[in-house]
Amino acid sequence: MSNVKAPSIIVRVLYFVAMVVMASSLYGQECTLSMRGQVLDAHDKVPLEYSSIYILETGNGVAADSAGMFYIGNLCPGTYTLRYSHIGCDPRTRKVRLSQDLEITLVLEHHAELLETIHVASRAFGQSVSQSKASIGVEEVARFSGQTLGEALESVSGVSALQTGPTVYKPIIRGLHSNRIILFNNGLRQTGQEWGSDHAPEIDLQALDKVVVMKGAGTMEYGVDAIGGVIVTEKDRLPYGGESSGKAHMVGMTNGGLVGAGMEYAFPFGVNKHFAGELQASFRKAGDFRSPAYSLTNTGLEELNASAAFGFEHGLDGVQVYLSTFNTELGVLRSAHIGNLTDFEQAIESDRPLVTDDFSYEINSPRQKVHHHLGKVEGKKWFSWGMIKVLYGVQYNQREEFDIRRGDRDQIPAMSLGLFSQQAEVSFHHHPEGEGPHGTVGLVLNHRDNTNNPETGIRPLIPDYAFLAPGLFVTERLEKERYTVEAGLRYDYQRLQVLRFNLANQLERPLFHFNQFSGTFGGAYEVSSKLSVSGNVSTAHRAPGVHELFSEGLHHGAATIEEGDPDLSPERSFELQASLSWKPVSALDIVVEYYWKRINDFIYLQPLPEPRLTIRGAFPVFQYSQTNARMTGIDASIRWQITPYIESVTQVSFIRAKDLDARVPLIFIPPDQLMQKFRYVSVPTKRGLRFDGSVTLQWVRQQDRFPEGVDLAPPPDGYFLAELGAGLQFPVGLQEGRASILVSNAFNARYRSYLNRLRYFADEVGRNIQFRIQYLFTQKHKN
Amino acid sequence: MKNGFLLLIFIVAAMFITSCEKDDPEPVNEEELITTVRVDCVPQAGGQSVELSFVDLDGDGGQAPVITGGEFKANTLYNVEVTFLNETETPAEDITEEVREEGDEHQVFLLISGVDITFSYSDADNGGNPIGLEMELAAGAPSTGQLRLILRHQPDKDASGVAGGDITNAGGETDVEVSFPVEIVD
Repeated sequence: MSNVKAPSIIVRVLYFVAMVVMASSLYGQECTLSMRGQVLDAHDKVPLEYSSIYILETGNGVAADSAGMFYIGNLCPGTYTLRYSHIGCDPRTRKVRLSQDLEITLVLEHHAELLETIHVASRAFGQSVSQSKASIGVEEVARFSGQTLGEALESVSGVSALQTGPTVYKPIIRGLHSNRIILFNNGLRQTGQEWGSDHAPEIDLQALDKVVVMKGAGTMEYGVDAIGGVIVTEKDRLPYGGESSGKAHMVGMTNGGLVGAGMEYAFPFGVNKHFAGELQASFRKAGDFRSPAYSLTNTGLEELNASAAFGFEHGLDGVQVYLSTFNTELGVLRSAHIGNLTDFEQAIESDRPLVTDDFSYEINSPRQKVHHHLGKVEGKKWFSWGMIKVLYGVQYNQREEFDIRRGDRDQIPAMSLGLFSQQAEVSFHHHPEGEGPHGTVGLVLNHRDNTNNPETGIRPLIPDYAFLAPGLFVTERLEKERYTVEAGLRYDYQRLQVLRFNLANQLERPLFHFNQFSGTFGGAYEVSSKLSVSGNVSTAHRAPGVHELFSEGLHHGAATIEEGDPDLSPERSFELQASLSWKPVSALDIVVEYYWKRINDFIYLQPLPEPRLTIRGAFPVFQYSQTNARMTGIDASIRWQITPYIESVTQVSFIRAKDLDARVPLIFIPPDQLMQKFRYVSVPTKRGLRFDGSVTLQWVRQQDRFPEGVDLAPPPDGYFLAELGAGLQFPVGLQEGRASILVSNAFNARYRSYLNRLRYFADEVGRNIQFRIQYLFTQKHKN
Repeated sequence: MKNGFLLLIFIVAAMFITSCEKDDPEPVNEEELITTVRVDCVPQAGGQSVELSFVDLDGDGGQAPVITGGEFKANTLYNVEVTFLNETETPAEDITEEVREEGDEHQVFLLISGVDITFSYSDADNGGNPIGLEMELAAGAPSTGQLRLILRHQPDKDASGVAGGDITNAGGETDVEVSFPVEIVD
């Protein structure tokens, strides 16, 4: 089939070349240079047929032929950014300096889970190679415009989301979440009130270019306590010496009447373009979402985010400043606000939520209002032996939660917390390009200051505290042709000063000291061009969080009283993970990841036998306690290039988690799931149009492993969801546009997710037709 | 460049050192707390009145609440007045006033089990629906059981049976729910 197509492809390539000729002739310069080359798979060097190669600066692209060969002619001298992609691969960009005709080989990773073995420079500071990991890139960021980071990450194998209604998504990595995973946002450890299961990450997905999920505990540079894993968000390098470029998007959805828009503009400036900047903003607003049978009253949201980056680079040295602000207000399902256990039981028995009103954009109590501001300055300087990187960042997180209250107190927050945090880091990256071992030594200082605003008129759920934690980490890596070995160590000291009022309203000042150690050892081995294996053993150490030590109070929406225990000790994990990547034929790619984890002194909420009698009725009491836990699981994915245009992706995840002391399963563990996706991408037509379509099917089994008598309702039934998508990529003058339509929950299935905290009260969101338009532009600077 | 780094390190060190100790926080004044529920029942024809009460002075947790039940006289009509107090304040804050002011958003229900008691509302909000801070209670034949008092916030007073004192369709959320042991004697 491909042999028949090949000649027409060449015609199309020539057509593109002609377009490039025309385009560049507009600039009237001497543009006679050409670039020719081949796109290959990074591992087995198989040509990647029909890859697309796109020059950001000129806004033009060509498609490679069936042998992965391409040719771009009539180029002016200068520096170009090539963006090249192939179905089933993460797209890459590469800067190319063109002063004479150039022959170039471009390589692509056939999928994100494989080891990074191409760019020496990126490998040097690259993330662990022995760790199971996965990532999403700019395409997914665009595909999830109008949605959250948590929703986008759900598409990653082994990652699920802890939901609170249709708008709050908190990532779960292999069954662990909240304080057990670290969110590393642009080099800073994101600090919000992450203990709350209804507190989603305060990060604007649209401000990101890449998100990497490191599954499990094998990383040292991000923190000592990443028992569950790390989510690292990244931005592309600013366009120093390059050209201005930008993008804009608009999104609209039928469900919830969601509208959103955003834009991003990156530009070089100053002498010799040594300076560069990037400005970005996004906005979204939604009203009440709808399940197939009824409206989910008071689930609207309003969000406005912006970020700015400025930098200076001279050679390899440079300084960069980054600022971002995230502001959201979101409603919590009205029916989920309940007074006591009787109300809760009534809500569970009822087939539909007790309050359902007509659609509205209004956000009433209960609601959350969150602001998160972040500022960072970072510098790097190269020496003969490597590089020093210095970073300082501040964050301020303000969270207000409003309840339905008597009097006019609906406008007074029931919880009002301000968290100020600082992070300073100096790291030494030695011998990034040599033959011998290379690695990083880093010194980190973290400070957090949490303050309750007494305006609430309600005893705070968690107390005020000051947290100071210096840490030291070392990671070393030795890379040979077929194998890589790596090891890392980290030590953090933590001083936690808590200020709380006892029941007699007397101030107490408990002080805690924790010493935390973590370590990892692992490697990767390329058995043959078709098979590679990697794995590591690691241990992580997490000190109890303030909520685990001192929580006290009623949890609305769960009708439970949660109590901390100041005598808790840190939990320690021991983990073994192994991953195998097998490519029996070039069109087939199989990745299997296995993990085994034991967590000693695992902190969890244990139900106490006696309910507590209060003036509002009786409530079950849960107390933070410790046990030993074991978690094992498998994440597997199969990628099959059925034809050059059709790709199939299959993902499965299983987790088994057990409380070893009580000999019962752990609660709220993601159920087994299977995802099957088919994707079609056409070759560009004569007019440069490119179609794509996708069908995604998802099966989620009912969770049948749960401790008896703890949860107030049994896990909901399993479910099946279908999602249909279609897109069109088209040229807009010299720029590029993209329009797409996506139908999620295409069959309007009524279902409830075990991992949604509001599943006791209402069904999940029904069919949602999502429309998106994206426009990408580059602008030549007149020198 | 090097000087820049040193300066940065200096600034950072200074910031951390100055922010190490934390000032004392202000205690929270718990405004909405209800510590006490009193149900005062006065016989219409005169005689011994009955005072039921639920008192939890330290709020949720801490000391267990003190519950006082009562003895009603058989075949007697009582005028009932319900009072909600926050007794952590001095003088005690009368929450009843707040409930009365927002009468259309509140309703008190009595749930009776095992004992021969019926009740009817004697007060009304702006919309003519009962609030339930004042009621008439009829004690019948001698018996023993529980009297459960529920204060609902934002109930649907127009739902079937709610204005008559049936909580089944009321919705809203529970602000107060307390049970008193009661007895009717000859």
